[in-house]
Amino acid sequence: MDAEMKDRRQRAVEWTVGALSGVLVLCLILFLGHEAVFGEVQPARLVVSIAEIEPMDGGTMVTVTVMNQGDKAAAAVTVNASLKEATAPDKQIEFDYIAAHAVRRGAFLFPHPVNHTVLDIQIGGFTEL
Amino acid sequence: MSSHPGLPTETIQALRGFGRAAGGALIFSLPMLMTMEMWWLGLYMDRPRLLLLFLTSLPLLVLLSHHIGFERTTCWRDDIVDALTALGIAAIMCTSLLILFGTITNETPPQEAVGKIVIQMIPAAIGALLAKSEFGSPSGTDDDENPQSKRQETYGGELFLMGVGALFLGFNLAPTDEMLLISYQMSEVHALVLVACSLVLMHGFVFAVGFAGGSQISAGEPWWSSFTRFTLPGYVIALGISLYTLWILGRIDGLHLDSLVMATVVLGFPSAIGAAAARLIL
Repeated sequence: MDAEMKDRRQRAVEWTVGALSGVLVLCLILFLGHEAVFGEVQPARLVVSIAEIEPMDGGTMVTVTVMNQGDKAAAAVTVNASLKEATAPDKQIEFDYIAAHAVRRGAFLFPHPVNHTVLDIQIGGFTEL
Repeated sequence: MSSHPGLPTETIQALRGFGRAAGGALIFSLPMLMTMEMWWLGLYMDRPRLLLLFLTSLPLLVLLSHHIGFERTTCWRDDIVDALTALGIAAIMCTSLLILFGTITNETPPQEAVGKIVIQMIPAAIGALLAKSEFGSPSGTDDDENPQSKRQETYGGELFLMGVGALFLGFNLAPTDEMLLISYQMSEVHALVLVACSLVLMHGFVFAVGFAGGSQISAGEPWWSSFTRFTLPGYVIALGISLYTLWILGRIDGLHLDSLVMATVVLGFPSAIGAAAARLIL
């Protein structure tokens, strides 16, 4: 009798765990289905901004954030930094991938003090996946 | 098997046990020891997350020792000792091989060296604990052939083994760039098909491998019964382990919900296979 009760209880636990798991998997399928049917597919749209300018030993570190506002990932994203009215060549950093709606951070290093007014940061380009 | 004059039998058995554990650690960790993304993770991985990974691995190893460790244990204290022994063997193996590969040199900062070793120790320790099931017992007998020594298997135990299987395969692949790259290349329709493939393949393994103990699948049982009780929970565990692994390795930082779900579904595929084939792998 005890063994039968134990077996029944174990079955109940198994079915409860199974039902909860089924609900979670169904939610995943509904989410992906909703995105597949109603989700917009805009190409990668990259926006770069200066997050922080930090003086450091012998120069300045300029941290930038790049946000992909599009619905597709971008690969080999290059960001260029140049100083206005300066003859020094542009500096460039490259992000391997930036996913849709994702934010990535990177930094430029300058051997001298810089500020917002003299700094020009632009997206150089990217490739589609 | 030849005897070793001058050495007591216990010493010989202990040495064989350590040798088997070292072999298990080697087999389970070698793919990751020779992957450069894993070296880099040891360099830059967020230290609180590395600590969390290490701390969460301790109860996992103790539970694993309790279920299928390298020796039959009778109490939790033995399981804790076995788990710590496995970690020690894993540390020795990983340190030796990383030095041998020139990944750790006398110029490597201690913080970097420790990071590189700790991240490799987890799969190696799992391998060390599973050494017995991989190589068999020293006397040539196996616990599976001895019903008296066989531990009673429970539904929770089965799900735990699925989790370990998912962690083993998922942890192998989570550090690679390809997991995210694949998720970027895929559309939501691809992801839906991948979810279906994961469930179908998992269920195939669940039927092929079968489950022992009180949760055995009988021949006359309809497919949806075992699908609901084993395959669906196994897949949810695989997805959970995938999400945890991706997060702890910093692979999904800054990702939006859509991309996070896609990356989890992609890593969930090998993790699901690992979960379903846990009985074969472990």
